[in-house]
Amino acid sequence: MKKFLLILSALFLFLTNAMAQGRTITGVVTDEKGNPLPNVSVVAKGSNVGTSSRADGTYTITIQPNTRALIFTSIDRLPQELPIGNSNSLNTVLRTDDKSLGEVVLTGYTTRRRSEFTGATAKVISRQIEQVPLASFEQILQGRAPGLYIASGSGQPGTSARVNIRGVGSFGNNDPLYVLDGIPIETGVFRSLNPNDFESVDVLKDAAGAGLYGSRGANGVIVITTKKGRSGRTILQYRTQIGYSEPSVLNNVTLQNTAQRLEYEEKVLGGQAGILNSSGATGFPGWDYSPNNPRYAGLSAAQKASEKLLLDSIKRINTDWPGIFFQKGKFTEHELSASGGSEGLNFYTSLSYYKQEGIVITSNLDRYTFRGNVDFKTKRLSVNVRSGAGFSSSNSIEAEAGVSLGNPIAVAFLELPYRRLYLPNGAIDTGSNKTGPNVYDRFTSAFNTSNQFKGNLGVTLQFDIWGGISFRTTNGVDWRNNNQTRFIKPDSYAGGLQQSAPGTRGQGLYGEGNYENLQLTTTTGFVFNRTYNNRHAISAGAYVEAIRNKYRSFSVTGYGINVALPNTPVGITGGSNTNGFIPFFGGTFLPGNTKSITGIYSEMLLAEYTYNRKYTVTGSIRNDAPSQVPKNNRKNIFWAASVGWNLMQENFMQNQNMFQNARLRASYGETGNTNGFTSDFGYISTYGSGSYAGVPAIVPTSPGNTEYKLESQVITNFGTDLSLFKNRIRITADYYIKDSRELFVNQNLSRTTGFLNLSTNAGKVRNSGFEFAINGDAVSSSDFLLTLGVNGAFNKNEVRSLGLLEDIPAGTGITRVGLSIGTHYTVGYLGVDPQSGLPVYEDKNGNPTTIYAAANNRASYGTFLPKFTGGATIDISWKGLGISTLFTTAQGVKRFNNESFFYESTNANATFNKSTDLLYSTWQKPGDMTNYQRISSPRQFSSRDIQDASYIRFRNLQVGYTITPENTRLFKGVRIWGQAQNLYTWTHWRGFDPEESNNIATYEFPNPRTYSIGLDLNF
Amino acid sequence: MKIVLKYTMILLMAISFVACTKDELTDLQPISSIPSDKAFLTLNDATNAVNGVYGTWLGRRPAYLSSFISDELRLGTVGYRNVGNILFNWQYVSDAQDWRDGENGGAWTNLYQVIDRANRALELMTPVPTANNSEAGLKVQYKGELIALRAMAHLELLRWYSKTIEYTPGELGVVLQTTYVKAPGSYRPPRSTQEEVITQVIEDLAEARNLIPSSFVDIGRVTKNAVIATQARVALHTKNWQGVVDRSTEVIPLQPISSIANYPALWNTRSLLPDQSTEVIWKLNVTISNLGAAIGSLWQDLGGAVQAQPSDKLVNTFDPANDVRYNTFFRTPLTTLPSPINLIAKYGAVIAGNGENFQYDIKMIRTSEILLSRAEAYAELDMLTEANNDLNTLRTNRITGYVHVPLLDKASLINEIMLERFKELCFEGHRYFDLKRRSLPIVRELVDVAGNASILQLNPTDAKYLLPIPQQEVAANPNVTQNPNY
Repeated sequence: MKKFLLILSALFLFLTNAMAQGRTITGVVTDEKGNPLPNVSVVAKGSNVGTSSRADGTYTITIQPNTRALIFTSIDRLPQELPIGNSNSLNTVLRTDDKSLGEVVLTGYTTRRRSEFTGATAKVISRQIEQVPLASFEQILQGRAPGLYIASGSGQPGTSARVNIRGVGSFGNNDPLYVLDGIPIETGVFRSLNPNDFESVDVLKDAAGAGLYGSRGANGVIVITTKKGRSGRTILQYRTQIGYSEPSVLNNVTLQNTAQRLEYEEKVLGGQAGILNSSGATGFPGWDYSPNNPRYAGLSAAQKASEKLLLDSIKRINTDWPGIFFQKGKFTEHELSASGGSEGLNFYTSLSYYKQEGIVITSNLDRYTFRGNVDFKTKRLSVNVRSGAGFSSSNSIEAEAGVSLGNPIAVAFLELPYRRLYLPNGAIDTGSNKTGPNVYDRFTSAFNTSNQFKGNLGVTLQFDIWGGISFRTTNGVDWRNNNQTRFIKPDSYAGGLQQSAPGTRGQGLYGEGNYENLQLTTTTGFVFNRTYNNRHAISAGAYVEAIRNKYRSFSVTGYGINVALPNTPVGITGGSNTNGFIPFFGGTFLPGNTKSITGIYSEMLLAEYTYNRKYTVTGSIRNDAPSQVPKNNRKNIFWAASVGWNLMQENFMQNQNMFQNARLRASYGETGNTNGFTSDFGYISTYGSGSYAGVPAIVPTSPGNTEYKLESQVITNFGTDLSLFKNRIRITADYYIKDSRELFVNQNLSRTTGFLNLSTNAGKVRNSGFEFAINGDAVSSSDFLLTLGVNGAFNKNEVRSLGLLEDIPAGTGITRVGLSIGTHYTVGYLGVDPQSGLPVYEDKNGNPTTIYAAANNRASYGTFLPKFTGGATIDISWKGLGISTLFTTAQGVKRFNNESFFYESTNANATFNKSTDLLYSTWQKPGDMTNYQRISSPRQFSSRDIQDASYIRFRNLQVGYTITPENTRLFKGVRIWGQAQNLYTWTHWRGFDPEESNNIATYEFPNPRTYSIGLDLNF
Repeated sequence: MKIVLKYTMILLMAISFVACTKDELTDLQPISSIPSDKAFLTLNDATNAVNGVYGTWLGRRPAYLSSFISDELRLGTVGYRNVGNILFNWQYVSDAQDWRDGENGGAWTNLYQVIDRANRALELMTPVPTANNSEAGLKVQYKGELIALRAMAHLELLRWYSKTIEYTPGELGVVLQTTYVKAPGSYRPPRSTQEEVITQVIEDLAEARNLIPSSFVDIGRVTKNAVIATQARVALHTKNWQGVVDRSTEVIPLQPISSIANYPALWNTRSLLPDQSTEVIWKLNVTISNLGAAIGSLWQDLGGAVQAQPSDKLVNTFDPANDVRYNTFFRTPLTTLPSPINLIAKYGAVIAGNGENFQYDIKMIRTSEILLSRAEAYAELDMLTEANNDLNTLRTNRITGYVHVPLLDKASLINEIMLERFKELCFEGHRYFDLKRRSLPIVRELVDVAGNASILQLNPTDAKYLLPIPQQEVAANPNVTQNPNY
């Protein structure tokens, strides 16, 4: 032993001496954010001399004088070659290699090399998710993955969006399944999660991926993997950003100002063609005080003078209502994280604070999150603990997205510009019909607060038994509690209107409600992984899985608030038969009252076989028993099979250098939609509680459908992955057909049954489409990289059957066989008859008619589901500078504009503000060619109100600069950056925001434009 | 070997654990609803189910329909929200908003819900055991109430939706529903003839009459008197004049009409006592908990905005000084509001600061109505003296110092009786149906239609005189044929 050591040290001495003739170069290797990178291989170009970076990212290498360059390489990083100058110090930044990160597909049950994965997936990595000023992470994914359509329904901070993977395959719930570190989590409740904790998000789109989830996979699966620590030096990081949000611009509409409004009242509402009563005051000052008004002639000189004075004072008021309700919202985020580990034990932990004000005054979100992830491994046992907790508190505006004069967004459009906000004494000019001031008053007197606590815990334990067989169990809990309160000050105008029974003077209200959701999951079984003869790789798993979901909510609203005890239930006055303060169960903004329980039990087998890294065959089969169906429907077998062929392993590909990767994939299988159940107990005929004038009663609540069963989808997918020209162009393309069947149709019943409708499994829908993602390195040199990326998805949606029905009309929409879901259904509009000034509609056959009749409704006006969605990215990095941009788009979207129905109202009595078009273009006399019908003629819903809501959005721009300090004692790395979100929108839509999650625009909270600057420090 | 044994044991334990959790996980009972097969265990459940049927019936709907479609009101001017606009202008089509489920103008859905709930309770409560004689008696009474409610709902449906204006036995009536539907998904019944429906209604009322004891006097529910009064209504609807006389004569003495002195209390008492001390034979209770079902808020908003006010035509038929009804039915608001001259005050009126909430019970049947029906029947039977007597009785009890001058010709007498119905029963959901069953035109005055001459008169021959079957029914059930002109 001693001898051996002696030889070794002699050898070492020799080597050292041999190298002493060269230069010694030192430096630090960091990632683009300034984190030190350990274990980076540093090799002198053209020699065998090399070393690797230490835990703090530093390296020292001694080179021969003829060495011209150093080559840096590391797993997951793009290799870099740097020329050696005169300096003996050489620091460098190694950029993340997205291609190699993308080489692992995480399905929640399995981890697969991308080169062998047989399904259609897309991966979004932490770099694309981090730091975007959106509290609900799914919105950040917009435009990042083809086939993943995200449409935000509200700009209120923290609101979740509509998420559809490969179109809409159910008439009910189309939400994908979300899985966080192997544990399914509640859909649409993400505002208390910190997206900066996410390492990656895998989107599983076909049977090979989503099929693993059996009865829960039909709408696709979004698999979130949080960060974990890596062995090496502990990395401590502090990140912060500050910024602000501002309102988006009002596209393609101008509303009247005071001068225009008064002119409109005088010339359009009054005047020759007008309809206002000319004998007395009408309440419209523009006409009442006009010298053209016939009553003017009958006034005395003094009256004339006094009316002129009145009119002049009105003219001086020009209230900017949108300006009053909107604000620049401040935005701040702080985050502290630490990660690291040693052999066998790794950790990642983070703390964050996030505060964002909405663009409508008083709306905001405050969030605090914590995450602690620990991985422990011995020779046979590995344990992974994933824990997260988040608390968020959010204040919302009144009557959000309501066609209501309590909704500030609606009033921003509709309040008259000559209405004043304040009385001369400084008080808000509230009162009956004074919508603008009343809404403004509510910002200081009505409060809607939602506090959310969310906790996730998952523990995975794997024990290697023998011969590649392991026992594996994943157990987890996803819990959240929403506490929502609503308070209206007793001594305010709004407070005076609040009472359980009219007839008494209102004294505000206080309501509080809780919603709790608890989901427990266990997946337990055996897994097998083994490679025989270095050629036959087999992996398999057999599990049982049990999921229990419980939810409940309870809300009460009390009245008669004591002024001295605001915003507490203690301030409520007990109700009596006469005081009008009887508490109410439920209430506006509160979560309602419910309590229920569901469960799913499954048995499953998964298997995969790869021959020589060339051919891969996978299969899965599950039997799922959801509690929501009758016992005889609880046997649901779902299976999926898929194949993959890696052409690169074939001999004929060895002699070409065009392709660096070429794969073909195909998959087929069936999944179910447990999200689609219309009721937890839809198969049981039930009674519920009712009342006859306060006397307890029971009434039938559901007729029950004994045939109740799972919705399911059969997905066929063909795909390919290619890399060309030295990996500079990377293409993924997929074609799919997704047939959804047994879909719940809300079948209208004959009313003689005592019920309106029944959920029956009668529908069939097909989504078929093509998806692509192309990324190319347009310029790729040692210190300059320009990457262009574009992804898109064409989807065709078609209803193929509705059981016994041909169509189901619902409001301004229709579900009809042969058409897309979300098709609009209304009367065709042709224009205004120049002679009569009345609107001309189309009859059932498309012929002009003046009669408006719902019987003439037609389904020829498109759908709100996009035909094409996509995103485009441009990323530039040059030395320490990085610029990344994201554009997103949705095309072929038609939405019903219920907003223009009001600001184009022809109702002469309506005290709404109108668009300037109504002033300049309203039909006045025979011969007028215009698109705006005569005043007082009924303005009906028609195809006129269906507008193109397609858009292209400059969604995100980020510019960052990384500084690697010479002296790393204080900071190992610093990055400063700035970003802008929703910079610009190109659209024909009329309104604040074309992007919305449903078919009809009802004065939703628009998405803001946000600017921020940030700083990342690594210690 | 030891290892194999160990893991086999673990596996067996896991399997047995899982096997028991499977049922535990998936065999659940609803927490927040009652499965129908467990809903009727005791008589108390039946009590609740009967209450549920009463709670379902929305008595305000005929008041809304009849007032806006006929000549009882004019549209409001202060804060008018287009309430009743389509009905008032006779612009409705079969899927007009007013007819839809849950809308005030529709009765189809609501009344079939009443019928279904009655049928369901009748069937499901049959096996419910009774503990003693008193419970057994109650169970019989419940059966009577449910059968009566089913009959009353069918009669109401016939009044609204029959294919013909007047009762025509062989023509289409409405769907007849005497059992509850077990397979609603495939249920698509056709309309029965009016005669078929009436036959069932008569049979049901006869049975109910035998089941409900006279000792049951809660006018907030269907008493025996209410059943007899409904029999009179059936006779009136079918022009069985002798039947009207017979049934009316039976019930009128049991709950005589109110005097002038008692009349205001009949209207300004929010909830009459649940006994038969007044002329109200049947009412639907309105308390703070179902305030949304109250009638008064159909015409006026709680905040004071006026959606409708009485027509001049109606107001001018009253003698303001002597007719007790004038100040009972109409109210002049205080001058602080730019309000119209008169408000409909039969079910409360918001006058500046009075905080009226319209919490008044809905009178479904009153003796005054039955008395006027009898007068009409007597006149039709050419018993003019008796008819004059009934008219006189009513007027004497409404107008101070009334002196009756007998009308000796049948036509003018019937006109006077109809006028008196217009006055006495205004805003109670009768006017349109009274005109309809006699094929009389709806005639308005120019001042009540804001000068719009196109809505002055609606003749029985006009398309909009008949009501359509709501489109939602026709769409879901193609076997129901639509009424003419829709």
